[in-house]
Amino acid sequence: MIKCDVLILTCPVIFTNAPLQAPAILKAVLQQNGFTSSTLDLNHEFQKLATQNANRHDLLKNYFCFGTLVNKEKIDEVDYYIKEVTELIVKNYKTRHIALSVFTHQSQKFAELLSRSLKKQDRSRKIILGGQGIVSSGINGNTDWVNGLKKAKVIDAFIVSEGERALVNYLKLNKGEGVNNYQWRQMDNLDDGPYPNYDDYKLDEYKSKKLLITGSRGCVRHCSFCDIHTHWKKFVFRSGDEIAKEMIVQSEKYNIYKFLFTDSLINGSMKAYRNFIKTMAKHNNTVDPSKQIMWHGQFIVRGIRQMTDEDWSLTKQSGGDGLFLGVESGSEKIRDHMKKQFSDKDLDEFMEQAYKYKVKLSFGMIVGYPTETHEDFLDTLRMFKRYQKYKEIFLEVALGTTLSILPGTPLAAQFDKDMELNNGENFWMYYKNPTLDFKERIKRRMIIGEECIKMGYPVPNNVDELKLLHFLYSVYKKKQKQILFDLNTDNVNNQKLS
Amino acid sequence: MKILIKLIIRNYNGGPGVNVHYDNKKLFGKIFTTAGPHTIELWIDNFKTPGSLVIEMFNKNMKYDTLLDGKKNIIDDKACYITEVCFGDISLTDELFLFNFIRNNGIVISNNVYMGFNGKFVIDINDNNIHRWYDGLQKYLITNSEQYDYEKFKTEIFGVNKDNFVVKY
Repeated sequence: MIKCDVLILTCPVIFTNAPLQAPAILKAVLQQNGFTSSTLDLNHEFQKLATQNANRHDLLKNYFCFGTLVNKEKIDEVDYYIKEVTELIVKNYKTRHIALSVFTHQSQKFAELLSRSLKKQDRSRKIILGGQGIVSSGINGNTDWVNGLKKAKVIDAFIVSEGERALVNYLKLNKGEGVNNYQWRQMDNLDDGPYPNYDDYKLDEYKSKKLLITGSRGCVRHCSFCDIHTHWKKFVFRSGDEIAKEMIVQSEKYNIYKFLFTDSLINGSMKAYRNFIKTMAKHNNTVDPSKQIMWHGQFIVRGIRQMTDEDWSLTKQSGGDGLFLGVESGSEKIRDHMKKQFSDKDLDEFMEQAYKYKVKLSFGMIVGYPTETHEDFLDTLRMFKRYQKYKEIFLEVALGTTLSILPGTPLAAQFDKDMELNNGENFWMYYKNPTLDFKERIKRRMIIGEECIKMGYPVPNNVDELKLLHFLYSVYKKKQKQILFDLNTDNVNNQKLS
Repeated sequence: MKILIKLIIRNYNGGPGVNVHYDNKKLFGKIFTTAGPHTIELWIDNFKTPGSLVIEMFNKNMKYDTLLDGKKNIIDDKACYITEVCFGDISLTDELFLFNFIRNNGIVISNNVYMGFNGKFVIDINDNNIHRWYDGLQKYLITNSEQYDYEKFKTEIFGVNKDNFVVKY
């Protein structure tokens, strides 16, 4: 039996096989503040089920994510799983507080069922929910779900953001900014916190041998479809040296040498980025090749020659292996509307350089932007044809599930009068481009999926995304309300793209 | 047991009357004259289940209490929506659509929370454990999903003509 002040849990379903960072950060912060804690990555336990019992995993995944079952009669399987997890917790941990990290709204169902079960088992136990998933419909969206649970006394507290500070305040004072309220304050300094503590994780069990790292919060761009600015008001970043230091310390401690940035963009500050790659390149050039660090994450395309030859060379030497670019469209006109701030020429130069230095890339795409014409769509196909010669540096083309319009985005505000949401973020109709209805967007998504695969690009999530579209289309046909929001945020790599 | 009933009133020609009964015992009765949201808060000592909560609408004259335009569209009405019913920590919102509204003439209207006729909205708690009853309601709301088959889906989107899928660029 493990005794601790707080047990920190992750909630499935998050589509990753990597150890999640939030509990590890909270554990380190709580330790710094004199509290004992344990972490348990329930998402990992759930992912393990996929290999142990694929049918059971699929059934539970569908129910937790979408509230649907192919066979209604199987609902008892859900109850049984929740009971199993409750027993696992009750048998192994003695604690007064249980904090559940809800990464996206797709973890809500599980979080609610487990909270109810834990509360039923012992009403004196305090249940705290935290994370951006406690709000639905985008990161600044609807709060009914969590407010309802609080009102019904299923949970005792919720924390929307900057949990490092809020959880400590809750434990010490039972109140604070962002505790049971939405008046949280963004931290200005990200350099002072302790490094995430993964000591409770069985790291050798994870399929994905990488650790997550955060170098910044917020974004320097204002893309029309993205709601990041409604949440993170400022772009706050760590020094490049400090990020490199964390990677070196953590890799030695945990014997893991691959890192994934959770940032919306790694190169938001070129000064910090240059410091980071310089320090990491120096480190990688002095250690045994088996201990060289590799990293990947989201990156923005800047103007021509903003990345020098030296930058590219150091990016490669520092272990840069997998820059995820939000390219979104092959049409410059559409990208301008999105405020992506890079031209075809900028992208051509970026691709040339990436290919020259063998830096691997992924493209994030948006199919069916409101102003996208058939010709714009063909421009996207032409772009993939143009870059076919670089296909060996592509790790992934992420085509997504067509654009969902989220409240709080500039796009939602701009098109307010000319757009009908049609019962769902994915079902929108823009009156000035009436032929681009949801069905037409699915058409384009199917075509681009097949064409990219024919051209030899890797599209690893194609089937899963089409399955999701199929599900959404069934909802759309029945004129039901879409309860599934920010479709891309279930993927850690793509979380900010929605 | 604390019971909350949230209503939205439409008050054309006065307003509707609402009675609330639990197991044939009248708990509340009032004519609502103000339009908009209203909350009825009740307390039942020794609350027991099985039992039925009945929300009854009265005081509507079907001849005079609905305002229609020339095309017979309803412009205003004497009516009320039930938006939420709470039994302690159990809150029913979407679940309300699972219960029936029985008009005074015996006609049963299902899948509806708008009381536009005199009649009774009946929430039947048919279990001696209210939480188990609620779990059962939630399970009833689950929908079966269609099996995914890419080729079928493609045909549904593009039609049977394969040329629809051809694109030149």
